[in-house]
Amino acid sequence: MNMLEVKNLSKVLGERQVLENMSLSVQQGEILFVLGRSGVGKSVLLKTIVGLIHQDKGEVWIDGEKTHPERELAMVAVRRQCGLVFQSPALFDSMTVKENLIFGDEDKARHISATMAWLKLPEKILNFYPSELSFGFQKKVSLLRTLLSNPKYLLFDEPTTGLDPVTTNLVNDVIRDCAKARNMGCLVVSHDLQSAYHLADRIVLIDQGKIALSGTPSNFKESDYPLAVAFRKGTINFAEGY
Amino acid sequence: MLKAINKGIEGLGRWAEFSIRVFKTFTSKGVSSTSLVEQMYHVGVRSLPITIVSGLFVGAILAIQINLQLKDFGAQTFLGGLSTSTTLRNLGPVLIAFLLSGRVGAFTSAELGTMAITDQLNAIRCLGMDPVEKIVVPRLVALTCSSFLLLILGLGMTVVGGVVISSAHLGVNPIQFSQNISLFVSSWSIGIGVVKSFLFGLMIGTISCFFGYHTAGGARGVGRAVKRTSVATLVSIILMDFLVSTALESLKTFFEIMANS
Repeated sequence: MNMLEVKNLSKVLGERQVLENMSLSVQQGEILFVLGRSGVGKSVLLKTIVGLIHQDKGEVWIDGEKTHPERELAMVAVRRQCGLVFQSPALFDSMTVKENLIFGDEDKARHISATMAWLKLPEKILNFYPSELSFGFQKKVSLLRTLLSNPKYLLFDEPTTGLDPVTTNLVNDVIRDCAKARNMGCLVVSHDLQSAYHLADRIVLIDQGKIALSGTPSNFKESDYPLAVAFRKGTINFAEGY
Repeated sequence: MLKAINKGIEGLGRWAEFSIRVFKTFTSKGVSSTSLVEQMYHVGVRSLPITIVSGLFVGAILAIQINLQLKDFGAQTFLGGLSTSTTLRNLGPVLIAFLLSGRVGAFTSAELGTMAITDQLNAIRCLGMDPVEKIVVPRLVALTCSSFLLLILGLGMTVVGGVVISSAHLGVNPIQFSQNISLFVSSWSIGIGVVKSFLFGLMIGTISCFFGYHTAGGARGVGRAVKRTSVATLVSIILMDFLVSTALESLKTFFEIMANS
């Protein structure tokens, strides 16, 4: 079956165990939300999948093939299959929006108009520089740049953080369309619980580098795991650390 | 102390590894002419005014200093030859390279560093491309070529600066100034200046790209990368100047011995 699989992934950064024996999978057409508090290693997980950070232990498999992060050339194909949308827009600030979108492959220009319409982006911004756009527009352009590469799997790092409710809903709709209409596998790391309830097929909760909870949004709503309760209430019990 | 030496050697190794990687990428994949022209404009053309002005003043200062020594011996007729020889062979390339390391080296390091900490370099990787090929190679080639051309221009300006100050202030007219130049300045001296200019340009390019590319740790990291670039380029220019001067003088002596035997 076509799927993105993470098997027993472990990573230590400095003296901190960021990921510990983490295993999860995303099928094509599925939306998996990974929830966790800030600094818990969610971004590290995504960067490890695409080989920007090398794991200490564990494996990443894509459509039945193991990836080899130590081989930079082999990872090029992996990164074309797995589009990563960064938490920061990561646009090339010395280039215009259009130059950002066609960077490295001018053939992408043919699909810009249709994809911009999908994201409700006006074409007049094509000649703007990223610094001339609002943060919300920059994030949408960043998403657009990744979508133009037509990946099989989309990895979103905090896609709705810092966005207004209208743009948040738009981005959520795009994520749903990617999975359900275009059959992409979507792995979303976030702490936006409402988006998770709204979109996720499954939710994984990370706590102290490990998977603490895995299940449907309904399972998450009913869980009495302290961090899940803290997420739902939006408060922390400092005595328990949640 | 030992730890610092180890760290220094490790850093030198990483710089060499990075430089080889960039060189291999350049020889195997070439460089985009559009990016190269754009970078040469940013790095080279915009540095022209500062190079011309500093070249003129370096030449003028050296002429004044050398004139002070020569005046005591009534040997001002040698001013043109001595000041031109000194500026072309040694002080001109070094001083202008110092200036360029601050102007273009620090700029490149800060630019690449900012790209690194804002995930722009990672974004290139995620688009299935190599940031060394797309970002580093055009900058390094442009920086090396521009620095080399700017240094040559700067050297020319040092001679002009020497001529102008000598005729305007030191009582040595341009004809007197140029009379003895051929006694002191041979094609070998000019060659030394040109070789040094190329090597200094290469050092500024590789060091600034290396520190910029490996920046981590936010705004503080960019500051650290720029500081390291400045220190490393200044030290390496002095070391390179010493090594090249010694090597080329030994080579010259060797050729002279061979010619005489």
